[in-house]
Amino acid sequence: VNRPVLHLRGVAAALLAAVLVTACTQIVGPARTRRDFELKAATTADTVASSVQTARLVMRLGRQDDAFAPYMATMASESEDGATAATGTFSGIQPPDARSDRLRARLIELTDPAVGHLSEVRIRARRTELGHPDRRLERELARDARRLQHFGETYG
Amino acid sequence: MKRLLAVTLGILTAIGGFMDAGDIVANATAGSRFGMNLLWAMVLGVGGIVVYAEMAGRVAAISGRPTFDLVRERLGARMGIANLVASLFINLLTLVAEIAGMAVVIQLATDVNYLLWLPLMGLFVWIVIWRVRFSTMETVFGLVGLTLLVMAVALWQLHPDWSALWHQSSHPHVTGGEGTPTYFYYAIGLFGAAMTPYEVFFFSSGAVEEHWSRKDLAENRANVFVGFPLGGFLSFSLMALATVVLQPRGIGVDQIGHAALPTVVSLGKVGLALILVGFFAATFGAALEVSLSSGYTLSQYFGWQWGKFVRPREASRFHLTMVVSIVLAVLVALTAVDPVKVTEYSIVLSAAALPLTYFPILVVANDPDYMGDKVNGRFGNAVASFYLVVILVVALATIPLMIVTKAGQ
Repeated sequence: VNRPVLHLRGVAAALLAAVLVTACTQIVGPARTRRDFELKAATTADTVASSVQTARLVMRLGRQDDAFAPYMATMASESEDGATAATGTFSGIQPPDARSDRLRARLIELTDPAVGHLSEVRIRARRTELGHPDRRLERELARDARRLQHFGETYG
Repeated sequence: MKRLLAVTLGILTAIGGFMDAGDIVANATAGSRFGMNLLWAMVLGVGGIVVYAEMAGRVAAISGRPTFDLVRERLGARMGIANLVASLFINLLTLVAEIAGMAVVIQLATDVNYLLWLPLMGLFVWIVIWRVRFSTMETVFGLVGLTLLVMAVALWQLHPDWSALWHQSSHPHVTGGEGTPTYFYYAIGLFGAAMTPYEVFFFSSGAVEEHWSRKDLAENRANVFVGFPLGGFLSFSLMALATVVLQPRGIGVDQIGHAALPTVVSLGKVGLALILVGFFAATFGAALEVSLSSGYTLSQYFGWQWGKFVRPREASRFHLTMVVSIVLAVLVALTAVDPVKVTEYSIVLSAAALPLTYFPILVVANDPDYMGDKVNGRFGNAVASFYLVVILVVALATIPLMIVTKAGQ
């Protein structure tokens, strides 16, 4: 076996290893047990809670005129995207039993309004309206964050 | 006086040029998830880069040849090719992260999607490499990077509970809700971010570009022993800011904008403007260094003419390597891969390949044929050997931890 062939084999082995590692570290995977499903639900709740908390900070910055409009619009938009992606990923996971079905429904009850509120923040940020306080939206976001964090702590 | 000014400028450049996308993401993420409980990993990494960058700079100054050139000559083609393939792959990932980081910073300033900025950023990197002198490039981006000191001011302005920060730093433990494997996975990320291989290839090749000789050894030591630890202070500030602002709110770092958030909360618009300039300089400077590093490693392995000190016409393959690297990086980034995820993968995979970079440097720095009377001393060898053991442990643990933790999930 000549050297170029050895080198090619080495490169092929390294590429195969890289593909395997990437495949093994993907976030999305089947939930084989109820506990597995609970952990995925908790991670989703934490991710959405993180987006909601970011949006709350962005609203505060806007109210105090402490940041430039493009930064706030980008942060609000990315927060919404992050929450939407997390809930979308979770929706694709098959619940293993009836109890998991109920857990799934409970989480969706929390994430759906949260994503809606994040959309409102994004719309206000893009219209540069964050300078005008919206107490109702701030209260809703605070409640979303509290509930999602509680959910994450309970099942995480 | 002129010499003192040059040394001071070198130190300032080293501070400002210390951070890159990997440091930004790793330190902000660590702070937001583990508070200051992972500071030790960052400090360990800064110590490691200090020890090995000093060696690489000394080797270049004494032998007049950069590290990679000597690695192939001293350790043979087979060891060299393994080093080359690993370095080029990690450099590509790092370049994707840096160019995407630049584009994301522009998005934060303009609200225009970062994907649209990517080709322009790639072009910008190439033009600067093509047109700007090495020393000018290094100094300008290093000095502009000093705006990141705004993070230290922001931290001070927040009036954090210093004793709590100190307690977390000095009594590290796994925080609630996080597993031990995840804790060590992020420790490896911080270590890898501080010791990214391109840094030493760039540092040693840069020393040759600037025609360092024995009389520049003092400047080498000043840059490394003063500049790098002070650069590490920026990493500390970022981690502490994330600990104070992001962690209590449960905000994770899934975008570079999150790393800027604590500074904005503390200092408002001025803080935002300065940190965006700093992040841009850090990622731009690193993109230049990584591109050059790719050109250096490939050219030095095959014995091609290399360097910015010769005309591009005389080092065409060196320049072509950089162009191809930049184009590939832009194309990968245009697939809309998550810039933060790419950065995390690049620093963790860097950690897995660290022995390939650092072991040969230690061998060459102990070879009197190259180094004469400037071989490593006993103390230097003891510290470097300690780090080599750490590097080996890190390299062995990286991939298993990556799989077990699903890349830190």
